[in-house]
Amino acid sequence: MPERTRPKPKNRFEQAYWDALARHQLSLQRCKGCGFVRHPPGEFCPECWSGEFEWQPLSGTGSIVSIIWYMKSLDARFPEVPYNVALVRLTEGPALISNVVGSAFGEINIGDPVRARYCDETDFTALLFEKGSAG
Amino acid sequence: MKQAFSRRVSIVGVGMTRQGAHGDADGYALALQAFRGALEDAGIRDKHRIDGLLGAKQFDGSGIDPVLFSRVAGITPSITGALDYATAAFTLHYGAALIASGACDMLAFVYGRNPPGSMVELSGAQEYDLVHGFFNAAAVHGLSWVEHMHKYGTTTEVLGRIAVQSRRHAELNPDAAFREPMTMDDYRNSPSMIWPLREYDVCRMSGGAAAIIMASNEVARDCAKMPIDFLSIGREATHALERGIQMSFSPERRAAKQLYEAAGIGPQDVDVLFPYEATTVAAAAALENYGFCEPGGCEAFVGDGSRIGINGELPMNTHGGHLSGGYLIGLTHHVELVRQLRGECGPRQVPNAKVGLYASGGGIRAQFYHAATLFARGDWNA
Repeated sequence: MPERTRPKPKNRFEQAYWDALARHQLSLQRCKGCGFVRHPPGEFCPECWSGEFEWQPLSGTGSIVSIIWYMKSLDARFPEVPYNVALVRLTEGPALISNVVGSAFGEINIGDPVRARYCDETDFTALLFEKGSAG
Repeated sequence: MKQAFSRRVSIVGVGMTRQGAHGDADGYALALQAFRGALEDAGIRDKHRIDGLLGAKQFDGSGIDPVLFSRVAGITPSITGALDYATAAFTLHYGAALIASGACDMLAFVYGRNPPGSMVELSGAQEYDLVHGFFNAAAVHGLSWVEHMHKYGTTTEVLGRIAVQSRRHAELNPDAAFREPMTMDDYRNSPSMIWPLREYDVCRMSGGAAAIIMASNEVARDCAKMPIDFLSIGREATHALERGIQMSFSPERRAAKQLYEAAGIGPQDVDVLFPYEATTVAAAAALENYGFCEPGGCEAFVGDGSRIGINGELPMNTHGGHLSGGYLIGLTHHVELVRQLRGECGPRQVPNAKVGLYASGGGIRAQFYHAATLFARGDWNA
């Protein structure tokens, strides 16, 4: 099993993101000024600089923009290979880096639909994805 | 941002050490050696004429601090600096702007490093995301290449041709770090690292140093060798991953447009190309994004590799690039570019090279930067 490490917080807005993931809910900040959905969390909207926002629960669905496979372990915390890293575009707009679990090399490709799969670690919940549509 | 420093700023001296294994030598000692070489190359006997000094540091803090280096070298430049993202083009553009503005007359960019893991470890060892195991700069290039293969039907064969051609050039360069012959079969059999990239797609760490001295065009006339002029520069940046922008190198295309428009020339006028390549993907991208072929056309363009060879239509990274020449944040590319335009490259000299293009990109803190420069010898349009 990989030893996943939650990143050190860069600002006070990140906690709510991780709290939601612990409830198995993906939520991102939606700007009340212009509607832009931002990630990672931060105080101001990078589009219109408004500080007004709401946490918007997202569907957790998306599709693969691109995917690579680590065939050789580059770090002792991720010893098991192959594992993939994918750029996932969420249905609601933003894209983020994650892993697609439950699919072997060659079984998941660009454009494939994916849905969130929450992975509870000892002290946080990681947002992963699995192949498949909503539901 | 359209910019041209036409006829105002020139490179007047270049120096570099051999790239590769350097035992326990310190980066500053190597940098001093390169600096001495650049001063001699420029015919500058008085080191105190250097009134601007730029260094560069890596993410781990290694590299050259310009204030410390000025103490090591016993010089007192009135302006020093090192950028956050300080690979060669970004730093040289900054230096060129200092000279163009009149803030200094003769500026040196000095860099040297002898990292742990030299000759063995892959470079680009960045930890982007420890939740998902997203490691190494090559991963970002890999994501881009998977998109490219999906969209255009390209394969890793073109990447192999680029790696092999780089090695052929390094074989002709006694200062290159990796010179043992490599074939396409060697490439195909090299271990897969981050699919679709193999180990030979990614550059390795190596030790070495280089120094580049720039001057105003008036000062350049007093120097020993033919000055190589900045024709134009292009720069762009974009937010990438978090904004969900596909990594299609769009900033590179905008930088190319600025560059050619400012210089009033096009890709057909470029005699020799130097892409900054942390991986083979970056070199393939430069061929498309700088207009040498259509988007998706890099594999057909490169063919069996001869087109990007010394006697090809578009010689590329004639010193071996980062892949085989050694990783030095783009400085050795500039040293080679200057020597090519002066005609000093001996067995790997490109016939009648007058215009050179350097192109680099990179990511830092989820921002993707791109910078490129067109250089020419004074008689390029004669």
